[in-house]
Amino acid sequence: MLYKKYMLYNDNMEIMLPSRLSMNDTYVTAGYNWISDDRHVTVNVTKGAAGLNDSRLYQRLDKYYKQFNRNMSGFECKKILKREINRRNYGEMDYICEVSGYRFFNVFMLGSLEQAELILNLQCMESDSGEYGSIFANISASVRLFDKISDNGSSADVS
Amino acid sequence: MLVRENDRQITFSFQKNDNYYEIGYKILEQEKLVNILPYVKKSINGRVKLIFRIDGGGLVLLSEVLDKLSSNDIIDLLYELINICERVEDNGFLKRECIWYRYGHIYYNIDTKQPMLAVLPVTCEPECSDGSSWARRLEETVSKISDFLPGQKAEQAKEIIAGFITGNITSGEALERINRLGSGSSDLLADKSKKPPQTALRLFYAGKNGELTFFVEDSDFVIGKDGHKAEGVIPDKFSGAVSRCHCVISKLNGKYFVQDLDSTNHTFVNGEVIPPYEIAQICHNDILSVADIEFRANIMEI
Repeated sequence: MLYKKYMLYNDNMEIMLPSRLSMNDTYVTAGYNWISDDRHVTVNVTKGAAGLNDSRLYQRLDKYYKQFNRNMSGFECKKILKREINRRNYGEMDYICEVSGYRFFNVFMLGSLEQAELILNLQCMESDSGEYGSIFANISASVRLFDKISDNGSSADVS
Repeated sequence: MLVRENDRQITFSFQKNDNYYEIGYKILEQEKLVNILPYVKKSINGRVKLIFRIDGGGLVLLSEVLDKLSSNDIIDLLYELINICERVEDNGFLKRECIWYRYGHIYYNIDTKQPMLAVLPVTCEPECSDGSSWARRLEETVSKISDFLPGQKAEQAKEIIAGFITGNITSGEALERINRLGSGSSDLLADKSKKPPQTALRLFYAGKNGELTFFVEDSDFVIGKDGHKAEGVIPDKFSGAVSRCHCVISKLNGKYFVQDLDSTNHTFVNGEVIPPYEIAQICHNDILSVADIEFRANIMEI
């Protein structure tokens, strides 16, 4: 499999994605979206609410967990963990959801870019999660952020 | 946080300022820690309670069994009490202060010989109505357990835990030292290294003009003919087809990837060309071709 690097948000973010995913020009929400030819795999990168730094990461991830649990059909949380990627902290939540009768596997990553939430969502059909699990792990590991880390949230500790 | 107990259960009732989070509870479930007492969660009037059962088979109050344990069993017990900290903190969110080390609430499973206690899904040390702290509870518990060890070992054990609590020694160092107090058996340390081993990528070429070997570890590694810009230099005597900065190898998620830097004569992995600026993974025993120089790739543990 081949990958390509993309620079986003005025070159403050770099991410590596499979070359077979195309950028979706019709994506209207603020952010970036890529989709596979068969539309089974999507990658979204968006910025969310302001005011996120390392010390509030846990609370915000908890907020998303409760939202998904309440609003998503067939929501099943598989794993929650904190990751450090290229000296930045992220909260990761892997989950299953149902849309139109189909089950999807998702990797949701929450980090901080320019003092706001940075959300990376990787999605594939649940039946493809075996193949895409390692690809999604490569994508998450490739994220590099080039903005300044906030003064009151070092990259070391998250409460 | 309120703590209540009877002969069947210990109940923790979380108040508004106790930093209880739903994802903390989910993390507890997913980690499946062997030393946690069986528990259920209840929500009453918007407040969460965790109820830990203490009337299960094989469970006895630790204080009732200590005088019957051998020195080695007690050292294993101390080891496990510290090892729980490492396991709890493994996912990155829960902290050691979640572990409820109160002596009177620690149980012992006589079948598995494991300490059993409560672990709370909170993000920081909960405020207890009796004013006790996590550090104080752990210190008292270890002190009472260590008193059942022979003279010098008891003092050494207390010293190790004091160092661990104050942060003067890491949990890994504390575990090593506690292990040495006992028979020095390596079994206890066997489950410690769950982390994957460190690796390096070795690239090896042998041709009529000589051999080339490059080692790639954690930093980006540029291969090319320009000695000022490349870490892996391929001199002209080996090939005139290599570009100044031909390709770069990066390590991500424990794997190695090569990106072609718009070279003139291309980069290949196992004969497949990598388009300019695109990236391919290099696996063990792959052939990485930098123009006409073919390297055998070996991923080695270091």
